[in-house]
Amino acid sequence: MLKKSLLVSAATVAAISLATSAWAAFPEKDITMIVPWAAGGGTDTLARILVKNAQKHIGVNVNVLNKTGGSGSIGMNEVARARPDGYTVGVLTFDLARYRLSGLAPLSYRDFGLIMLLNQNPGAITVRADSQFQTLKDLIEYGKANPGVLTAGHTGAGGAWHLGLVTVATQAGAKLNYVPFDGAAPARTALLGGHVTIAATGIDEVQEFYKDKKVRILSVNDLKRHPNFPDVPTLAEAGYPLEAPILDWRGLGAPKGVPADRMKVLADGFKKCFEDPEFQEAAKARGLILTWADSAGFEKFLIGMEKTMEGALKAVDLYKPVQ
Amino acid sequence: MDFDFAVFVNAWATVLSNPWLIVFLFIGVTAGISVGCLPGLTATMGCALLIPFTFGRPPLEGLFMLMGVFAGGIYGGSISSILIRTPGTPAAAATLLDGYPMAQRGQAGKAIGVATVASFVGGTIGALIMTFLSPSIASFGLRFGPAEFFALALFGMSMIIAVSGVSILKGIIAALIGLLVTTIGLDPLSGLPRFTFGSQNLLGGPTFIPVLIGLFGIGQVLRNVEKMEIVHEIQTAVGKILPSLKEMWQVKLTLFKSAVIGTFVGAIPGTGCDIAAFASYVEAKRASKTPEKFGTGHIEGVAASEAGNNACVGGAMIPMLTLGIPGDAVTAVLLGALMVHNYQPGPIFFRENLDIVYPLFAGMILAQSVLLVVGLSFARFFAKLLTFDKRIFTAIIFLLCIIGAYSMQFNSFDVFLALGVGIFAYFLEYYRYPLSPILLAFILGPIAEQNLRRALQISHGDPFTFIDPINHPISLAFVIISILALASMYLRMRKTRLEELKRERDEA
Amino acid sequence: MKQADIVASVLLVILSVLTFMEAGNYRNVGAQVEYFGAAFFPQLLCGAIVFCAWLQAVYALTGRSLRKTEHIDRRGFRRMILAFAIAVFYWATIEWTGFVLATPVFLYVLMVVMGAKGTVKKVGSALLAPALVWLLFEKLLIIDLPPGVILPAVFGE
Repeated sequence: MLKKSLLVSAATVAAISLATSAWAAFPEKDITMIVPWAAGGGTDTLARILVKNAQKHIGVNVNVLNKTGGSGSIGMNEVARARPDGYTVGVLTFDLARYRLSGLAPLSYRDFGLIMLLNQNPGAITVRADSQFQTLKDLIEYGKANPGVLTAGHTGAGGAWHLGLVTVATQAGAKLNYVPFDGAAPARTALLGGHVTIAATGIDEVQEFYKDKKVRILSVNDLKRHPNFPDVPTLAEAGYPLEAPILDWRGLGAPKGVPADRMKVLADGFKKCFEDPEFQEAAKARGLILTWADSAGFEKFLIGMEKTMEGALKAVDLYKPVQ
Repeated sequence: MDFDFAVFVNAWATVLSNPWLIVFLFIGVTAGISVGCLPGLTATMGCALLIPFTFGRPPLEGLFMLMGVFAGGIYGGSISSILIRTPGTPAAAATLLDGYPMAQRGQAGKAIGVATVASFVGGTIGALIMTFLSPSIASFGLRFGPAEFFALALFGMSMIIAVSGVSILKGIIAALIGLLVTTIGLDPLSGLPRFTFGSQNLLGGPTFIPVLIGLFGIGQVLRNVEKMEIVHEIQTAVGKILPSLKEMWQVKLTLFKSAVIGTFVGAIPGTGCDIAAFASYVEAKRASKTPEKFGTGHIEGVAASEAGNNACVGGAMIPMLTLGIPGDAVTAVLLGALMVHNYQPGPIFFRENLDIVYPLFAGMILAQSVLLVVGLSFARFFAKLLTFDKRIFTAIIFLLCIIGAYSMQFNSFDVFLALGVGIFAYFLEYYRYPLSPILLAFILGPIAEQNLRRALQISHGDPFTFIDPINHPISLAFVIISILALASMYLRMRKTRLEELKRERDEA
Repeated sequence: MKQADIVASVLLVILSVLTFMEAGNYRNVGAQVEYFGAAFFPQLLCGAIVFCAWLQAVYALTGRSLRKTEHIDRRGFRRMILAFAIAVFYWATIEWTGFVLATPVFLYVLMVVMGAKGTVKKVGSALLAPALVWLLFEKLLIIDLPPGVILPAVFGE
C-alpha cells in the first residue's frame, strides 16, 4: 500500500516537474485560434491570413477553428471559458461591444485578456449600378418624401451596419424599411438580385462588385476616404456629417488569467505576424484596413466603443443592458 | 463571357500533365469518403481540417484536394445511410429512405454500388453543367429573393410530407414540430434569445448534426436493441456490388433529371446538397409509374438522391466562383482556401483568372472518375461490415453516434440532445409519425422563417406577395405545385384509407 | 391508435398554448427596425399545430385512426430502456472517467445487455473499437476526446 502511494506521489512529482518545464518553453504545441464567425467570411479571412506564417513568428502553428452561432457569442464565450494556458486564443469582433448592452449575453471585453486590435473597417451605403439614386442626397431625399418605401438590407439588428445606416437616416429624417439578413454576403446577393434597394455592409465586402461596376457605393461611413475606393465620398462629403461613425473592428483576445509571460509571447508573436509584409499586402488587397493597438490601447478603444454603442442602441430601441 | 474552348483544352493539358494533381485528388476523395461515412463528421469539417496542409503547396493542388474531399464526403455519407440508417452527412438523408430497406433485404452491396455509380453520373453531369453554363446559371440564382426562398421552403416541406408516411396530417404535425424546434436560440433577425430559458447551450439553437444523429442513428439503434432477436435473423449477404447495366439503364432518365435538379438547387445560394437530394428524390417518385415502390428499397430512389446530391457539388461551386457567394458551408471553406492563396472569387476573378478557373472545372470532372474508382473498391469492404455480429455491431454504432454528436462542437450538451431526440424518434416511429418531415423542417426552418419575415417586411405585410405573378413568378409557381402535390396525395391516401377501413369493418 | 392520437393531440395543444404565451414575451423591438418580430413565426406555428391537433382528435373520435403496424416486445423494451440509461450514464460521467477508461466498459456492458456471445469477441471489440476511434480523432483529426480526471492525475498530461 505504502509502496503504491509512494509510486503515485512520485508520478505526481514527475508530472508537476514536467509541467513546470513546459512553463519555461511556451509554446510547445500548436495554438488554437477560435473564430466566432463562419469560414469564408471577413473575420475568418483576416484570421487565416494572419496566422499563415505563424510557424515562423511564434514557433508553432496556429490552427483556426470556426465556432459560429448566436451572433458570434458562442465562439467568444468559448474563448472566455477556455483553459487559461495560452494555447487557446480567439478573434474578438464588433458584437462583443453589444452583447451586454442589448441583453444577449453577459459577455464583454472584461472577460478577456486582450492581446491586440487588428483591424477597423468602415461601412458603406450601396445601391445597384442601374439605380436611380446617384448620390446619398438623392436617396435620403427620396426616403424623406416616401417614408418606409425604400428597402435596406443589413446584416442583423444591432449589428454595425444596421446601426450605421439607421444613425445616418434617422438624423436626416428619412424613414427606411430595414430588412435584416444573415450576413453581408446574403444582403449583397439580395441587392444584386434587386430584392432590396440599398445594402448596408462593410465596404470591403462589396469591393469585387464595385470593381465590376455592378454596384454604386454612395458613401463610406468614415471620416476619411478608403484607399481602395478613392472616388467614394465620405459621409461628411455626401452632406451628412457624423461625429463618430460606427466602425467594425476585430482584435485578438485570450481567456482571462493567462500568465503574463505567456501573454507577452503571444503579443510579440502575433505582432510579428501582423507586421509580416505578406499579411499586410493580403489584407490591403481585400480592402481590410489594419489598425494596430497593443493590449492597453485595445482596452481603451473598447471602453470608448461601449459608450458609442450605448447611444446607438438607444436610438434604435435595442438598449436593454444585462444586470 | 463566352466559353473559351481553347483555354479549356489547355487546362486539361495542365491538369493531366501534373501527376501531383491526380495524387491530391485521390487523397482528397479518399479522405472525403472516410470522413463522410462517419456520422457527425461532415465534408465541411474534412475540408476545414485539410486546409492547413495546402498552404505550402501550389494553389491548384490544395484546391483539388479540397474538391475531392467535397465530392467524396457527400458520397461517403450515403454509405452509413445505407448500412446503419444514419446519414453520414445531411446530404445523404434522402438516400436512407430506400438504401436502408435495400440493405435489410440483403442488398447492401448493390445499394452502395448503385449509390456509387449514381454519384459518378450525377457528379459528372453537374460538373459539366458547371463548366459550360456557369455564368447563365449564376444569374438564375440571383432571382431568388426572400419571397422565392420562402416559397421554395414551402415547396420542399409539402413535397416531403406528400411522399413520406401514410397520413398527411401526421406528416404536417411532424413538420410543424420540427419547425417550432428550429426557432429555439438567438433569433438571427432581431438578435433576441427565444425559448432558451437562460441556457447558454441553447443560444445557438439545437445543432443540426446531433439532432440528425438522434433522429435516425440513435432512434434506429434503440429499435434494433429492442428487436434484437428479430434483427439478428435478417440474412445479410454482401451480394453483388456492381449494379447491372440494365438496372442503371432503366433509371437513366431519373439520373439525368436528378443531376439537373441537383445542379440548379446547388446553384441557389443558401441551399445545399441535402435539399438537392430531397428535391431529386421527390421528383423521381412523383414522375414514377410505380411510386408505391419508393421507400421500400427501390433502386431508383437511391439513384435519384445520390445523383442529385453529387450534382449539387458542381452546382454549389457556381455562385462561389462567379459571384463570390458560397452556395453552402463546404463552398464557404473552399472560398476561404482560395482567399488564402490570394484569389478573391467574384465576377472579376471568373473573367480574369481563367488559368485557375478552367483547371478547377477539369478537376471537378476528374474528381468524379476518381470517386468511382475509390468508391467501388471500398464498397465490398463496407458491405461486409454488415455481416458482423449484430449484437456487437449495434453497440459500436451506438458509440459512433455518441462520438459523432460530440465531435461537432465538443459539447456534452449535444450528446444528451442526440440521446433525447433518439428516444423521442423511437416513439414517433412507433406511433407512425414520419421522421423525414422533421428532418426537412430542420434544414428548411431557418430559411422559411427568415425569408417569410423578410418578404412580408418588404411587402409591408401583404401575404399576396408570394403569389404575385408579375414580381414573383417563381414563387407563384412553387406555391401552385405545392398545393397540387398535397391535394393529389391527399386524394390518393384517402382512397387507400377508405379501402383499408372497409376491410377492417368487414373483418370485424 | 385512437387513444394515442387523442393523448398526442391534447399534449400538442398544451405545448402550443405554452409556447404561444412564452413567445408573447418577445417584445417587438422598435417599429423602425421590424414589423414581423421574433414572436411572429413561432406563434404562427402554434396556431397551425392547434388546428392540426384538433383535426387529429376529430379523426380519432370518429374512428379514422391509423392502425398500429408493430408491437413492442416487453422484454425488448426493457432492454432498450436499459441500454439508453447506460448510454446516458456513460456520457454523464465521462468528464471524470475519461474516454479511454470508460468506453471499453460501456461497450462491453452494452454487448452483455444485448446478449452477445463469446467473451474473447466481446472483449476484443470492446478494446479495438475505442482504440480506433481514439486514434482517428486524437491523432488524425486532432479532436480532443474527454480526457477525464483519473488518467491525467496518474500519468500527467
